[in-house]
Amino acid sequence: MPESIPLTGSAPVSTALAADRLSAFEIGAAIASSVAPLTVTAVIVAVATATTGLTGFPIAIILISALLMIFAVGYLAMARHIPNAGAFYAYIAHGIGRQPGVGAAWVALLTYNCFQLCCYGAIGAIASPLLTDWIGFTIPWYLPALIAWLLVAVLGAKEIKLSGLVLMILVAAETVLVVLYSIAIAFGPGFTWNGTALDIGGLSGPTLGVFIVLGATSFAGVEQSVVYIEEARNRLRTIPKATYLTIATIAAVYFLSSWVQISAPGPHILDRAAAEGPDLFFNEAAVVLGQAAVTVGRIFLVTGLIAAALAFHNAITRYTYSLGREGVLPRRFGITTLGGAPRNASLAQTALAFIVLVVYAVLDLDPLVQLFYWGSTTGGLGVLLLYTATSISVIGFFARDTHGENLWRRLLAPLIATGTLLWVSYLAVTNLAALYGVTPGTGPAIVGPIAIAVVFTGGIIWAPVLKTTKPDIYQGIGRGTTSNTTGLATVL
Amino acid sequence: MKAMTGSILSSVGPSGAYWLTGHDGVKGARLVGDRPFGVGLAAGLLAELVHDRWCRLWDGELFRTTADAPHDTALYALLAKMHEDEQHRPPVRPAGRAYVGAHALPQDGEQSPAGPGQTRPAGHGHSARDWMAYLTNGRAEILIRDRLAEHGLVSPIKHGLVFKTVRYLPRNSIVTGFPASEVRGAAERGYEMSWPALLLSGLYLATGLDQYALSTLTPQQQRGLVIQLKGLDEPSRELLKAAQTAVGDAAAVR
Repeated sequence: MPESIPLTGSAPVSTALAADRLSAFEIGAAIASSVAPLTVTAVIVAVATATTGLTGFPIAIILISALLMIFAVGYLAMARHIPNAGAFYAYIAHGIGRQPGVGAAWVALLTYNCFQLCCYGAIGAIASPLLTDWIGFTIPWYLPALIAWLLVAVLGAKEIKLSGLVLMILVAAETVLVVLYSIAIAFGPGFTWNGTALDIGGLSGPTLGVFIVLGATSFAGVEQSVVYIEEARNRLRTIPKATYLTIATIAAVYFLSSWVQISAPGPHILDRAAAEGPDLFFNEAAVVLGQAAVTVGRIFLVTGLIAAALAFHNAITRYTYSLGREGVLPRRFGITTLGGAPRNASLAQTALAFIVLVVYAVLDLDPLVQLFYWGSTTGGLGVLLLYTATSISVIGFFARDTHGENLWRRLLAPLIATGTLLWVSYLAVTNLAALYGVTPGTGPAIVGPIAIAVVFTGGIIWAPVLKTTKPDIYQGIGRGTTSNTTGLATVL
Repeated sequence: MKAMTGSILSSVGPSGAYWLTGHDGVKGARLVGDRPFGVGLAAGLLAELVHDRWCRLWDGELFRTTADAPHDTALYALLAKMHEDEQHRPPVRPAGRAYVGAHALPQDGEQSPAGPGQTRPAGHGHSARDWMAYLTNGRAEILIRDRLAEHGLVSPIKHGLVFKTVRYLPRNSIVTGFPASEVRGAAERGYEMSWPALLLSGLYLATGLDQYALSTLTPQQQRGLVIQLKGLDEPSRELLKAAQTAVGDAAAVR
């Protein structure tokens, strides 16, 4: 035998394994890479303020972050006891039933696709004038959108290491920019804080529903923390720590930047938000930092949107891959390349995005309002409804078996979260016209919810078909890669 | 059905053969991603430990069955590490019914090692899942590389002009194709496969390498292979399923 034996003399397996796994910071960074701080600060804050005519976005951010933290208590507790915890539909399949689980899976796919596709609209609308200025002739919005689409297609089809690194760099850069611009604006000439932005009484019933949807849009992606449960250093502590810290950090950045942005124009905030839109934040910074701040801001906004498009592309790929492995979607979506990347799922989303971009370009639809705003709002509504259904599932899951969880985690926190989510979902659904900024009963105010309902119903109908034709697959719904209906497991 | 015995498989084991197939690209380039490759090697090594009866897999835990040491350096290192880890743990209380040692190990094809009437083996258990994760991050590859180096099948190659790095590449690009060729040949002719060949084909399927190694099999030949895989011993099947789950989880965390 050799004199020096490999592996021996090093740390015990448990210690080495802990060192190999992800820390709370690493998981937090991965989650944060799926949110878009500059997009929320520059686009959503200005649009929300202009649409609602209210300045309550900062306090709404505090409310939604508090709601998410309470929701996370039961969500994280249940994640420890079910496989495939990264997917909303897995919770719903385990907590309520497989049939609504399939419906939720389809709604989740619709929701994430809305978020992903809307990014291309904003990229086109913001990059097009920039490029036109630089090049000297008119660049149609769909050209930069298609370039972004190509970039996402290539990075998304590669292995995680590349796209994960790209995401982190882009999100870190835009977060630094948001903080720097916010500080610059706050130290600008004549700046005074706007007290009404923190007035909780200013959020009446209907506007609260609107703000909550916009808040849900702003935080979309944080629920992905549980995806890393198997990779976490400590299943019990690391994931909750990463989730709460990430929500708190994102909330702090959004709160500060939105409050600064709403405060800077003084009494003219509503007029300026309507007139300047996504440029409001950059124009405010330009007062202190010079006109270059606008150009730099727009460039970072475009790169931030590409990061968001990539993050949502990855989330959709993950969902499609999980559903393909379980057999709920065609099996071809559940296979990986030799490099371990679920390429078919990635290519399917890429193809869908291309079709949508072509349709919008051919029909000459507005990329900012009809693609970005309507898409992100429908996504926000969808994710809010998924949070609500998941919260109900947590109660249902622990009602059958406590799984050793304490009363707060398995019942009290989920009850508070469910009650609140049901209330704000009701407010959102009954105020869709205000949410989309259209006349009640017209356009997206009617199409958005109908699309969600139709897709959910489609899933509900598909589930019994599976139960009858492929009972094995039906039994494996929500079990992800541990399903006995996936690949080799069916043989062995 | 004729019996199939693979020369390269029997000399380097399923894990070594898996490493060779994984490096069957142009100029020895790796065909599989880091994670699935590491999982394949880890699962292969653990399956070898159990199949050669150095360990017993019971209810997801690996138990050393003997104080003897294997000749193979990779398996020796694994058992030495298990032994070392056991020194850091408190003594184990004797089981209700004494475990009678290596002679009582389940035979190939025997069902459920943790089934009714069976007791937990004596001694310290090592979570197979943890060990698979531990070995996946490059450690299994080092062990297998050393094994293959002893057989003269790999050699270190220096890369880079300024920052020199060492990569281990197959010495013979023809040999890297042998294991998959043996498995394919057996499947095509309908031969009864040996345990190493069956485990190797299971590793291909669990990690996605079948897309390269078994791509030319007809549906009928694939069905024949599947029938043979069902006859694998229970511990090997469990480890292959765990490998497939680990690869799936890795693909899902993106």
